[in-house]
Amino acid sequence: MKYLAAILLLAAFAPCGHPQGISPLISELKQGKKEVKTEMQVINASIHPLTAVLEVHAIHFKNGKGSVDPLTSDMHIQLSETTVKIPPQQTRTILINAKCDQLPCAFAVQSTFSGARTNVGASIKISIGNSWYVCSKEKDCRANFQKQ
Amino acid sequence: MKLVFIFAIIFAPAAYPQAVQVSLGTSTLYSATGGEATAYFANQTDLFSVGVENGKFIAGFSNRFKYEDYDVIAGDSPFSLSAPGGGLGFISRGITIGKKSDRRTFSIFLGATGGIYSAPYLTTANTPHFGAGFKLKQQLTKNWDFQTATILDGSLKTFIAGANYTTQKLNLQGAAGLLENKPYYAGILDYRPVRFVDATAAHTTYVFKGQQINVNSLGGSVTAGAVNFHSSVFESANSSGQDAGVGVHAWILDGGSDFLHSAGFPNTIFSHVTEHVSRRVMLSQFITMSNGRTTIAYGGGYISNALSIDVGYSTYFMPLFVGRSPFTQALTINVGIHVGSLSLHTGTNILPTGQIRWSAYGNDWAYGPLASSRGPEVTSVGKYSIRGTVVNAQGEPVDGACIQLAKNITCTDSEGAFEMRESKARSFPVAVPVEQFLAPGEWEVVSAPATVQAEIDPQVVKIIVRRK
Repeated sequence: MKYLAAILLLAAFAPCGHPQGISPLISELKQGKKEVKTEMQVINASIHPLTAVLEVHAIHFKNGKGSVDPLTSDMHIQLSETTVKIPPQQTRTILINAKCDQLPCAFAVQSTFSGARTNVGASIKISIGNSWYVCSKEKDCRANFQKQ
Repeated sequence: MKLVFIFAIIFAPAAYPQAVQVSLGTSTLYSATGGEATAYFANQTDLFSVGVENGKFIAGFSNRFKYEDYDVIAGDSPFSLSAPGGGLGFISRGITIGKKSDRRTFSIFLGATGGIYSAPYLTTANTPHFGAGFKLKQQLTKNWDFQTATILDGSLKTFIAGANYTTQKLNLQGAAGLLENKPYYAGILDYRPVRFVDATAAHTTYVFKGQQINVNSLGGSVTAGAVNFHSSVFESANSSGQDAGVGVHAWILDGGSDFLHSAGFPNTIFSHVTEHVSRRVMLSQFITMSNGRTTIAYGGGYISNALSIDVGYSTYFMPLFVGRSPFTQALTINVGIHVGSLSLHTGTNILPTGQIRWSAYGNDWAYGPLASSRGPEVTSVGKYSIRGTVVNAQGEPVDGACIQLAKNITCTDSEGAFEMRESKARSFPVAVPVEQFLAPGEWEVVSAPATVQAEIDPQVVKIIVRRK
């Protein structure tokens, strides 16, 4: 029975099982009179330091089909940082301020991870996007936006 | 111990590792102080641990590598089985061979077996018996998975089989068998018929200092807008208790109140209010009313990338309590500090006996040319910004070029554009650190402004670079 004594203690320090990437993948936000303040996490689960470059795009839906386009002038999306260097097995939080002149709106943050630079050879990048839906009401925001 | 060093000599690689993680720590939870080093090689990972537990020297070693499609661990290998309400784990000091595919994972081990000693800064074992084991996890369908483990540890026999069924509305977990020659069964049912209703029933078995503790619980919650109503019933061999409460989220406030009842003991009302002062800072107040007495306590939290602090009180059902109410409020403190790749943590844990234990540990990484560097901590979305583009001599955007403004480094996106936000409208000296470029190759600067100004609606700065 001795070995099982550690079970409860192990659970207290269980390592997080996040994959390398970003969180949340999809989020619905409610915009009032002021800008919406939210945040996202950029996760480096690898054993090497990585650099992530963040890029914001607009999401549009027309006749049920979605497209990712450059930000339009009626969407004001600000990130606290657009480049983060993340040490191994750490997470960085990016603050986001979002305000759309016309609701509902949606935007994507594309995070591109790069490893160490090289003078020769190929540079391998992993690009992951998450999407944010902004509405006057949070409930069914994404579904209603996609019906446009 | 001899076995550990034999493995170390046989499997120690004659090469430099790609990365080395070093951890050190101390804990009253584990009664141990020590550290470990994990060396990551191209094809294998080595772990060395040394420490002192209750005045006794302890050490561990493992060498993980791939042999064809198999994962092989020589040395200490934690062996765990997920079970409802927790996990069952122990350690093997010998050879473990496993294979993982999309739908099936299995592993077998042979060697000395016994008690695992695992902390975030130290992994080692107490292995007095010869033993062997087998573990299988199989995904049967999209919703069903099955797992089984057989472990022979000296004269102690463990055989457990379990299954999980998961859908959007229902999560069912069950496991049963023999746990070290004693019958064992556990199960959890979680049903969420609609988004705002949740019901849970569970029979869980916890093990603490060789004692099996069975807890039955039944609970439910209903959420209506910003208000959540919840109720739970707990029962163990020593005690039973009921909890009914309400939680509210409004504006920048989170609050709630729970009525805790256990037969034969005074009722307790535990209330809390948390004010989210900003995205980084929150303040909490905890009020406990019991047996005619009211106590007030305060807590709070701060979260940033460099520093996180959380101080508060939580309510626990303690099934081992005898002669006192099984409900207890315990102080929880967690502090995390990140400086570059260095991480430091300290925090509290509560034992099933109600005692508070402390742990403090840290880890860092060592590299050759891959060292990480960071600018100052960013704690807000700055009002002012600096924008620009980096192009090559042909006017094409350069993806992965980096620009240094004071101590901050930012890199260009796929359009060759960069942006940095600042809290003050001031000018910054511009440097183009070509050695930091994410784009491969050797680069040099053709033209760049000496300074740039952070403004609310800034001019787009243009920087020209070319490959050498």
